[in-house]
Amino acid sequence: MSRALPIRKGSAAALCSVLCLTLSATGSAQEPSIGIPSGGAESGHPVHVRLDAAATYGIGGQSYLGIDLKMNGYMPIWNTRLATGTIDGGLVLAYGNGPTWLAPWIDPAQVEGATHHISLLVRIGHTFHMGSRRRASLGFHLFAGLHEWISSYSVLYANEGVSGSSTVKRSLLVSGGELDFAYRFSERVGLYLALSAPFPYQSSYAQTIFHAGAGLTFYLR
Amino acid sequence: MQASRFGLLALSMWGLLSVGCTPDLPSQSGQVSVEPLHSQIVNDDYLLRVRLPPGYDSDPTRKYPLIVQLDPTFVGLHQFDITAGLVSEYAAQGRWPEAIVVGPDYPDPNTRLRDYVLPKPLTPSFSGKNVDLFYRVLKEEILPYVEQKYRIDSSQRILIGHSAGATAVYYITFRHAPPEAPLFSAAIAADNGIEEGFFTVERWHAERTNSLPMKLFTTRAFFNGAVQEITYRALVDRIRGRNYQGLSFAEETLDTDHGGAIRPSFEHGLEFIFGGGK
Repeated sequence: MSRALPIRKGSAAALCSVLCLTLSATGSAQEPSIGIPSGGAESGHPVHVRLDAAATYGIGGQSYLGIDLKMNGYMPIWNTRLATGTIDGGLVLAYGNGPTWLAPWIDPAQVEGATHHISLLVRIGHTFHMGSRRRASLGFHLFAGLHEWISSYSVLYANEGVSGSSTVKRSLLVSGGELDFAYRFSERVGLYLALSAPFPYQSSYAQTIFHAGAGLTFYLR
Repeated sequence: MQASRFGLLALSMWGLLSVGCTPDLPSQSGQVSVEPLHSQIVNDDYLLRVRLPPGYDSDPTRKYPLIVQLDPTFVGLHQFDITAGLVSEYAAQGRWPEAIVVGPDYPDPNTRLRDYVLPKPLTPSFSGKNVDLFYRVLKEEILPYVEQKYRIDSSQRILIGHSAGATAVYYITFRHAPPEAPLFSAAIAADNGIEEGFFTVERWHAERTNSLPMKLFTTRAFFNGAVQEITYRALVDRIRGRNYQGLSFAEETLDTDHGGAIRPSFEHGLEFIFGGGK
C-alpha cells in the first residue's frame, strides 16, 4: 500500500504534464486552411477533411444507378512548387439500385422489382493536388469492405398460371481500386468525378464490373 | 422478341465477363476437326467441331455415345473444349464411357440467336422459325450426317446447352411426341432465363403424352437472382409434378454466376447421365 501511493502520485504528475503540453500545443497551433492552400505551404501535417458526394452508374449483371458518399481525411506528405501529395484515408457508403427499366430484356408486364447494392468500405490512397493554386486533384485509392447484394422481384406469367415473389441476398467482402478527380471552384465546393472497379474479380452479378460517379466535393477542413 | 434476344445476348456477354480471363480448361485427348455442313432447311452453313476419342481408328466395330454441344465457341466460353476435356479426363479414369463430341458452330457466332430462341408466336404445330427450324436441322441434317460418317450409338445421344443453348435444350426435350422416341436420350440445360414459352411448350408435351423416356439435368446460378429463382422453381416443380414415365430428372442450384455455371453444370450433368443417375 505504501509503495503504491508514490506510483499513483508519479502517474498523476506525468498525466498532468502531458495534458499541459498538449493544451499548450493546441492553443498555440494555427487552424489549418480549408483544403490545401495555394502554393501548398503549410506548417506541420494538418489533416484536411473532404466529403465527396456522387451520383453513380454501375454495371454488372445489369445496370444500376446510385449514390456514393465518401468522407476522407487527407494529410500532406510532400510539396513542390506545383503540386502537393497527400496520404488519404476514409469511409465510403454506397447504394445502387438496378430497376427493371434499366434491363431492356425484362418485360415489365411480367416482372417487378429491383436489385440493390449496398457497400460500406474503408478507403486509403494518395492524391496529387495540382497547380499553383492546388485547385485540381487526382487521387488513386484502394478500397475494401462489405458489400450486400439483394435481388428482390415478383414474376407473373399470366397465360401459364405462374406467379411468385422472392428475395435472395448475399454479403460479400469486396476490394478494388478507384481513380478520382476533383476541381475546386470555390473555397468549400468542387466538382467530383470517380471511376472504380473491383479486384480481384468475383462476380459481375453481385459485385459489378465497374462504376462511374459524378457530383460535388465539399471541403470541410 | 427483340428484347428476349437482346437479353439472351446480354446474359451471355456478362457470362463471358464473369469468367474473366481464359478459364481453367480440362485437358482434351483424341482428335478434333472442323468440317462444314450446309443446311438446306435454313440455307446456311454450319461448322461442325468434332472430337473423336483416342483409339477411334483402332476398333472399327466400336460405337460411341454422341454428345452434341451447343455454343461450342461462343464469346470465348470454350464450351466445346470443356465438354470434350471432361469426357477425356473422366473416360481416362474409367468413370465415364468415351464419347464423340460434336459442336454445331457458325461462321458468325451470333447466328446462335437465330437457332436457339423460341419463335414468336409459338405454335403447337412447331411450324415457326428459330428453334422450330433448328430442331429440324438437328433431326434431318446434322444427326444423320454425323451418324452416317462416324460410329455413333444413336440410342445414346446427349444434348448440352448453356444460356440460350439451354432454351433449345428445353424446347427439344419437350418437343418429344410418341410414338417417336425423344431426339436425345439425355440432356443438360444449364442456367438460362426461363421464359413463359417454356411452360407453354412443356404443357403441350404433357397434353400429348405422359411419357418422357430420357435423362434431364438442369441447373441455375444463384447470382442470377430472384427472377430466375422464381421461374426456375416453378418449372422444376411442374416437371416433377407430371411424374413423366421414363424420366430421370435432377436439378441443382450452383453458388456462382451465369458464366461460372458452365463447367459444373456440364460436369455434374454428365456424371448424372453416365454415372447412372436416377
